[in-house]
Amino acid sequence: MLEVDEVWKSYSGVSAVRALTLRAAPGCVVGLLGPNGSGKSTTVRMIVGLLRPNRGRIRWRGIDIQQQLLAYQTVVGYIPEEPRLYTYLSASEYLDLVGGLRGIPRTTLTRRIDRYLEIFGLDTDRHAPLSAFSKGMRQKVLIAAALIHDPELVVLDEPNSGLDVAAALVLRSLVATLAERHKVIIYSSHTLDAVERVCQEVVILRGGSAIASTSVARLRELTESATLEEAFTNVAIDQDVAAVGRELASVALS
Amino acid sequence: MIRRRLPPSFQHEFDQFALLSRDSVRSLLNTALVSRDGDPSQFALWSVVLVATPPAMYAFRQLVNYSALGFQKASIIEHAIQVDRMFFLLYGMLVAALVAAATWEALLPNRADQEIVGSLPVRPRTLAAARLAAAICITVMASASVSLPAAAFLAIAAPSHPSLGFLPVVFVAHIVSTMGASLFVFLLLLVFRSLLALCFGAHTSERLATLLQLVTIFGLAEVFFFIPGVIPALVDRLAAGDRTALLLPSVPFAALYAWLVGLHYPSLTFGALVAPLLLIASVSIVITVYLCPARLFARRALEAPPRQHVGITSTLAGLAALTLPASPVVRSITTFAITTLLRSRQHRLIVTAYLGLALAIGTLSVIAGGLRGTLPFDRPATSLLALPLVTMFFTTLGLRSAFTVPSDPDANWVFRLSQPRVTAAVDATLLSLLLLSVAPIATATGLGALVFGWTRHAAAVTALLDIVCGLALAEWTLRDWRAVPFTCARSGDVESLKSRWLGHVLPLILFGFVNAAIQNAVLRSDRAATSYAAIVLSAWIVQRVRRQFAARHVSLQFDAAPRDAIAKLNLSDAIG
Repeated sequence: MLEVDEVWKSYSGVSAVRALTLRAAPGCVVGLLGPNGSGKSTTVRMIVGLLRPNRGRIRWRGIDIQQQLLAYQTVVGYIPEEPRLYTYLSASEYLDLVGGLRGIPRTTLTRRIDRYLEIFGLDTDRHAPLSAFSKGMRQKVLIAAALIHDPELVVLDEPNSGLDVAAALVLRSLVATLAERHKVIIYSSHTLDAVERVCQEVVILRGGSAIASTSVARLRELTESATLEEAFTNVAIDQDVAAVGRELASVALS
Repeated sequence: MIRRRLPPSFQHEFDQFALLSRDSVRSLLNTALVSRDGDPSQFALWSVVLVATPPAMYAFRQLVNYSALGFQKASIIEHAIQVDRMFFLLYGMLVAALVAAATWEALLPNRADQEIVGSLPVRPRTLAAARLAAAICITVMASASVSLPAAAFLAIAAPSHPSLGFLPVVFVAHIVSTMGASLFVFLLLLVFRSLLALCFGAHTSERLATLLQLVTIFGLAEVFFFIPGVIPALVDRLAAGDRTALLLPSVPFAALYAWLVGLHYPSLTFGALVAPLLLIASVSIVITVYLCPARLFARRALEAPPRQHVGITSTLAGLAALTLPASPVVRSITTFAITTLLRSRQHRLIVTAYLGLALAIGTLSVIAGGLRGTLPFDRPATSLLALPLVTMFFTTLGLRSAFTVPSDPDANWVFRLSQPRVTAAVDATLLSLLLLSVAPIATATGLGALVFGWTRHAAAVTALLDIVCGLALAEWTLRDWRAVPFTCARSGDVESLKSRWLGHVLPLILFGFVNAAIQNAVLRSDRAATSYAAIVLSAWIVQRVRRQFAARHVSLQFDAAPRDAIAKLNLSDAIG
């Protein structure tokens, strides 16, 4: 069980996350939703231990993660929002580095790397530098790197970014399978359709605070919306999106 | 073997350290690489050749000289060898400084490193230790490539005179002292880097890379041009037991060298003790200021907000370009070129390397004349007039060279789609050269002349003549230019470095030194100065017309030119 209790985070005095509380149980996929700047990525980075909260606690199986950060990070798999990679490494070298740092025995690691590259269709490009990879290909490498040690907690920050339709469908199936295996999954995304299909619970963030935290079905019911997109628009978006679109189209005519 | 002796809890950390060290070497090399699509191994190889050749050649020459000095008195030989040792020490130290300057940004794990490794079960200290080990490894390799050939030549020369020492001892002493001196300088700069990052933050610390590179390139060039004249005096002071000489970082290591070889000046014993102490102290301080705060550095890197404001200098440069009377296309490209240069450390480093060389060559006769008291600073003189011209020559060439290195080839679709005319792209490049090189140097020349007490008239005319010359130089530099700066994929940079540098020596002599002598002559009369300016302007106009005429039938270049025309020959077709 992952518990985020009254967590605050600020950068140079500016609050990014305020009193955020969420729970994620094994087998349950928790979606993090929110507009840009709502604090999703900061929350995710605190959950994986990259950032330390100013206030509040994040607990894994009842223990504050900051007390045993290294032990906690051995069970976390993380797909970051931006495809941060050492781009001068090849896909197999990068996975080799990550697996090595996680202490996976060599024979096991080689077998897993080969399998991941084969499944993702990257085996023919395994020796090409990551700088030559497309965004989608890099995302596949990141997914492999996040899963290579069989993590108990999987944190996905915009995992669909750059993926083609087939790969996005594979990812959806992957998340469902991981949930069936009682992994704890945090899924942060702008893609409401994907979140609706994958997540059982959603937390909607705005201005660093959680403005809704419930199941997808309950949220739709409460907001009297047919879809999650409609519910999200009602809860989290203030502006008249149609009017903004019209205004944008007319700027170049002025 | 080391791993097995560690407690089990540290064995995994050792494995992580080994993996990250290997990766850190590549990170550091990639940082030093000026072109994103360059090959790090080629770059490392050519850099080693470039820095190792001059001391090897110098040592070889001395091998011949010492053989000829076999019958000289011991004191003369001892003095000569001390001077040479000091030269090698200084050179090795400057190479270490150059390594530090080239890899400055990656010497500490940055935000990207922390983002990638931070979510893995890796301690910040492990990452920092791996980066430190990789940096030291690169420095040791660079230092070894500089030291080994010279050590071999000096050792071979040793049997020609008893004062030169015993062959194997000379070899070992040379390597120990020069590599020790190099490592000391590198560690000192690492301490400096860490302290700056601790006290003023990563941004300030990273900005110093450009200045450091300028100083080291200048120093490296001066080691050859100027320092040989100073070292004998330094050696005399050392032999006379002047302990203030020990304040110069190279002197304790020179003392160590002499002590190891067996030259027992009483004054050297103290210096020989100081050298290892300095090295031990620098290692201890590096551990304190680099490794101990690794966790703090990691937290700062991850939590530092993105830069809120772009640099004031680049904003001003952009504004300057906007005020110039040029078409919107030319102004856009000029602003892009200037801002890219000012915000890209790698491109700035290229220009800095040229500038350092320019200052070293340009100041050579000025310093020598100043020391001898034969150079009048209060009125125009050829040596003084040559300084801005040489600087302008190297800076303009350096800028042109930097413009050929793409900043982000994937982003050049903006220019590919808008397809500006070749003339507009070349005009914008010319404008950028004028704003970044010619105008600042000419302005500095005018102001410098006033500071030295020249008449206002002489200062103004000199600045104007420099602008006119700079205009013609910039046009000449761009005679085959067909690209938007920083957008064209690069090819054959190693080949151009190897084959083209000789072609610039004659233009340098003509533009920098012969031109300075002509300027000195024409400054005596306004009429002569006007005629000179008119001739140079005419040359510029002729070049410009030729360039515009040639540009009518060509299009902008975005892809790398074929590396070698011979590679295009299909011999199998010819045979068939």
